[in-house]
Formats: sequence, C-alpha cells, structure tokens
Amino acid sequence: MISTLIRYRITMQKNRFATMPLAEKLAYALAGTVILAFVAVITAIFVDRADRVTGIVTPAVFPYFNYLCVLILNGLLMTAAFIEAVSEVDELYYRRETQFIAQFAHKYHKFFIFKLIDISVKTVPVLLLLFPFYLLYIFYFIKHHNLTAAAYFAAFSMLAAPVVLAFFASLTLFMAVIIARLLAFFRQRTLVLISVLGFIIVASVCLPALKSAQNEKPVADKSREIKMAYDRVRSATAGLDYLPASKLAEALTLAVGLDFAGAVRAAAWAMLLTLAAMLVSFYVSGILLMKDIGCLMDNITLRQGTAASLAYIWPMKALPPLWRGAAYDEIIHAMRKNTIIAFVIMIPAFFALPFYLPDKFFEAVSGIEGCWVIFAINCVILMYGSEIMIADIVSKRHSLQLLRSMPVDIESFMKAKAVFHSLIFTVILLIAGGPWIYFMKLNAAELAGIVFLAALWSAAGSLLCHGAGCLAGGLFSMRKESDSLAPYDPATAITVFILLSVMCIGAFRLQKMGFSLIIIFIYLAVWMAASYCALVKGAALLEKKEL
Amino acid sequence: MLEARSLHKKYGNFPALSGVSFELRPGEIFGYLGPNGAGKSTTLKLLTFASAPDSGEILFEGRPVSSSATEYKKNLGYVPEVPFLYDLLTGREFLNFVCDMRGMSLSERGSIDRYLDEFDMLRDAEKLISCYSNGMKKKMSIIAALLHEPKILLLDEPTSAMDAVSVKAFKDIITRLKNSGTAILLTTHILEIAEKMCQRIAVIGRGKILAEGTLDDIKNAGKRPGRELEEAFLLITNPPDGEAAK
Repeated sequence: MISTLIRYRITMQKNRFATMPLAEKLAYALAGTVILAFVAVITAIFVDRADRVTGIVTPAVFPYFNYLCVLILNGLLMTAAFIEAVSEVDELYYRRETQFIAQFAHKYHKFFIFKLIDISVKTVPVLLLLFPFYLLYIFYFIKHHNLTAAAYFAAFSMLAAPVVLAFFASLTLFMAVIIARLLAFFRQRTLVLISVLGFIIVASVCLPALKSAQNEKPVADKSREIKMAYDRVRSATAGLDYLPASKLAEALTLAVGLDFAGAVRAAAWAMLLTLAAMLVSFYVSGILLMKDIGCLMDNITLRQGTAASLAYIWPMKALPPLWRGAAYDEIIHAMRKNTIIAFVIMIPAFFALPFYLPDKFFEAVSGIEGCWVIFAINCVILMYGSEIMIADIVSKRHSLQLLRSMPVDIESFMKAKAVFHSLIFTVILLIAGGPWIYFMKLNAAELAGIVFLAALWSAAGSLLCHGAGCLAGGLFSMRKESDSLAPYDPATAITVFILLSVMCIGAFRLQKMGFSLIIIFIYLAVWMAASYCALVKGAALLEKKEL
Repeated sequence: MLEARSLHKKYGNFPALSGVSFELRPGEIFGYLGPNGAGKSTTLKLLTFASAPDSGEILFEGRPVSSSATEYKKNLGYVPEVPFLYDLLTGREFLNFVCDMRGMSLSERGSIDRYLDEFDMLRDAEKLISCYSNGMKKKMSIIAALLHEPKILLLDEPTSAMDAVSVKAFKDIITRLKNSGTAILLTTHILEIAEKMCQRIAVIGRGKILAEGTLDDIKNAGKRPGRELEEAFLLITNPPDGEAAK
C-alpha cells in the first residue's frame, strides 16, 4: 500500500508537470534556482574565506557548537512540526483522502507510515536552512581530523536525518490529532485561550533561566565565559536533551572524543526515543483519529462555525459592504484554516522577547540599527502572512467563483483586502514585531518614524502579495490538488514568496550599503506602484480566467 | 449479510442516530430514505468505518465488523455522495490505483474497460480527472466501487449529477449485481428510483427508523392503503399533529 501511494503521488506530480503552462514551469525553475543559488553562494563564501571559517569551530568549542546546532535544529523542526500539525488538521479532516484510503482493506499502520513519510518529505526543506552549519562541520572535520572523518560525518548525518525527521513527523501527527480532537470539543477561542495559557506556563518555566544565562556578566577568561553561558543555556533547555537529535549530537561529540562505545549507546538511545514516539503517535492517532474521522470532521466544522468568529470583529460592522465582505472573508478563512492558532502562539512568543532577550541585545540595537533588527523579525511575520493574503487566488477557488457571480469586481475586492491586510499587519508588526522595551526608549518623533515605517512596510508587503498574486494567478493555471475541495496553485504562491523575499532583502541591502531612509521609502514606493499596476492587470485577467 | 443493531451516535448533545437497526440481505436492493439531516450519512459513515458508533454493533455474516474489519472491507464497495478522486490522475490511472490498493492482479482488471464502456467513459479514460464534469466524476466513483465485485455495495445518492443515459446504465448494472447476489444499500432523494429498484425500504427521520418494509408496506404505513410512495414518505417524515401524537 505504501509503495502504491508513493508511486501514484509521483504519477500525479508527473501529470501536473506535463500539463503545466510554460509560465508555471518558469516559476518552478526560478524557485529551484533560488534554492541552488543559496547552497552555491554559501559554499562559495565558505570556501573563499576558509581560513576564517575553519577558525570558528575549534576542538575546544566543538561540544558547544554541537549543542547550539542541535538547539537550532530542534527549534526549527519543532516550529515546522507545529505549523505542519496545524495544516495536517485540515489535510486529515477536511480533505476526504483519509476517509477514502481507510475504506481499503489495509491495516492502519501502513497508512500511519505513509503519513510519516509524507510529513517527513515536507519537513526536509527546513534542513536546508542548516546548510551553513553543515558546511562548518565539514570544514571542522577536514581541518582538525581528515577527509575520511568528514566522510564519516556525512554518512552519519545521512543516517541520523531519518531518525530525527521520523521523531518530529510522529510528533506532528500526534499534535495534529490532539488539535483536531480539541477543535472538535472546544470553540476555537477557548482553544486559543488554552494555547496562550500553555505558552505562558512553559515560558515562565524556561525563559527566566535563559535570560539570566544570556545576561551573565562578562569575565576576563573568554573560554570560561563561553563555558558558563553554555552551562546556563544547557540547564534552561535540559528537557531538550531527551530529544533524538540531542542524543545524536551527544553521539557525535563522544565519537569525536574517541568514546565509540558511548557514541553507539547515545545513538541507540536516539533510535529508541524515535521508536517510542512513533509507537505513542501510532496508538494515539489510531484511537483518536481513525475510529471517528467522519464525525470529527462534522464536529470541527460545527465548532468553527462563522457565527462564533464574527463576534471577534464587531467594529467591522460599521464598514461599507465591500470592505466588510473582504474583512469577514479573511477572518473566517483564518478561522477555518486554524491559522489563528498559529498566529496566537507566535504573538505571545514575540511579546515575550523583552523577557528572554538580554538587555545587551537592546543596547546593541538601539539607534537607527534597532529598527532594522525589528523589521527583520517583521519580514518573517509578513512571509508567514503572505499565505493568507493570497489564499483567494491560490487555494480558495470557490471564493473567486462566488465573487464573479456578485455585482462586485475583483479589482475592488482585492484593493479592499490589500488595505485590510495593511492595517492588520501594521498592528501585528507594532505589537508583535517590536520589543516594547526598545520602543519605550524612543522619543515621540522616533516612535512616529517607527509607526510610519511599519505602516509603509505592511502596505508594501500587502500590496505586493495581492498584486503579484493577482497577476501570477491570472497568468498561471489554477490546478487542483488531489481533492476537488482543495485547489492549490503552488506556482503563484512561490512567485509571491520570491518577490516578497526580494523586496525585503533589497531594503536591507540598501540600508547596508548606506542609503538613507528616504531612499528606502522611495524604494518601497516603487514596489508599491509596480504592485498596484500588477493588481489592476491581474484582477482584469482573473475576471476572464476560466475557474 | 450485513446487520446494523441498535446503532447510537451523538454529535455533542445532538443525537444523530438513536437505536437504528436494519438488515441488508444478499440479492436485494435496500432503499434508505429520509429528509436532510435524518441520519443517512451518519449511518453510512458507521458502515464504512469513517466513524464508530457510541453503542450498538454492525455484523457482517454474523460477526462484528470491528473484529473482522479487513475481511469486511474486502467485500465492501462504497460510493460517497461527493466522490473522492485524485484530480491529477487520468480516469484509467485512478481505476488502476484503486485496483492496486485492493491488491487486484493485472488479469483481474478486465472489468475496468467493461465498466468504462458501459458508462460511456472509454473515450475519456485517458483524460485527467480534473477535466471531468461532476457527472463523469460520479460515474468514475461508481466504477471504482464495483471493480472488485463486492458482496456489499453502499450507494449514497449515486445518481446525483448523472444524465439520463448514465442513470439508465447505472440501473442496469445495479439490477445485474442484485441478481448475482450482491447486497445493496441505496440512499436517494429521488423516490422514483427507490420505488422502481428497491425490494425493501427503510424511512429514517430524526435519527430513528420511522418505517421499514416492502414498497407496499411503506405505502400502506399508517393503515391508509393506496398512497403513492411520495405521499407516504411525506406523511411518515412529517406526520400531521394528530398522527405524530399517536
């Protein structure tokens, strides 16, 4: 069954590619080029500055470096698992594929393994972000050991990856089932409150220790300072030691120290932990998911009814119908996609920034540089939000169909949506993106500048997403995924994501090159003008497009 | 062949099914009728393992399906009201996928072309399903449910979106399957189809079986002989105040 499902998944992708128009193929080619360019540029920089790069990791700091890498790896995969879990709720419950496959005479464990493979494959791109660290390891092994050691490390990491990915895939499926169960029993706002409460409890336990570790007074001996900071961070994140990735990192450290018996023991622990996670996830999902998937689907739909969600946005009632429609549509979409849960988890995380970032950080970012650090955080929020902004074009085909049948033109609707998202993102950027301790140090004029920049940045981001989304959506074919209820147009999503990245990175490059804020305002204004033209042209194309 | 015994299912506090019992016999078409929200789809979810009943049991050939799930599924064909198909596969690829999932060998797949021909779908078999109309998707879903010659066939609104020629082909095929001993459960809103095809009918309303029997039994329900099925159906599901009190 597993090989059949994988084989036909590949056939579907082949069919998709075969029927893809040229513009869409080019968008994919562009995305592939961006990924390859990232790998190539990082490699070239590291090779070019090999002397400096190999000095970063020395045998003395190797255990600390190892721990740091695994901390980042765990953090990234945990975040990916959470986002994936939220979207898996939709995958598992709204798409009827699970129900369809469940009718065949196969044991549940086969479906479970297929889902683990499916989720793991989706998580692999996250590992790409760690490529620079991976190169550092390779450089370290070549310089301080030899090429054979580097080859052993490469082989070790290849074998370790499935163990780590399988663990997080199990966690994802487990979380998806728990979230779905909770969604079936609680109203979404209750669940959101529970999530926030959970976050506060976890944060109150972990963050003070982390903050005190980072605020450690500097000591004369550099290596002692590193050691002290390491010990404090380690004690604050002690729970992570029991994750398979940490055990594998421990195995690597022990192997480097030539304690091979200890290394094998640590690696065996990692595998045992992954197996245990798979077993727990298997039984929990088997009991909570497969036994009742049909009714859960109905329960979730009932609980996410629009009546409950409209109460959140009562001020919208005063808006003109078109604007109100655009706003309602977006809020309800966010509720149905469970995106709001992801946002609500993210927002307190950013709110907590002042509590876990050391004062040193705020001292470092004060002055003109400060707002750029904040806006780097904001870019991430904007990137995450881009998916919601272009949902009408990328994944909500029925929305455009419905719009066509109404006396509303797509251009006006998209403009209203762009303004709505501008406002929402300005608020999110100011609340979540700016550490408040930093804001408090500013005078009124500086604060006004920050607010203006946040508004401009949000407006540019929102307009770009809607403009590029409309144009790409108008040009590319709108493909359906495996279920007629879940259309998805990845080419448009990729195009918007790449353009948004270019716009954000471009602004940072200009700032780095020493251009004044006025030039950057003009830069953003040019993007906005181009995006507006794209919106007008794209909306006209969408009006005529076959849906 | 298939027996539902006192099935109960609640959605939160809402009782979707309250003690539903019926029997599906070999070589007969059992009509399962009811207004919207009566509990038809919930019943089918329980019969297809999409949900588990809160209480009650489902027996296949005398054994609870919970203990013989694999055997039961091997003998089950199911056509959902909204068909699930992989839009990025061609019609033929999808049917081969279903055969693969059911473990059918290549020599057992002759029925693919036969059914495609009967439903006038041979010419479209190599097209992507995303290009199909709703009616064509429905036909593809029916073919997928028939390929392994199931002993039990569950049909949820099978003729919705189908044209008259396809409905005729569907009726012929279903009648042939019935004559070969397949037990068929059919839910439909089109009473004419139920009237012409079903040997026994159950009318469900508010989660309970309100009437069950042959077509004549249903027509004569409430000791008022001579009614049409439509009139009887309306009376059973929406009884006048006096009759409801009785």
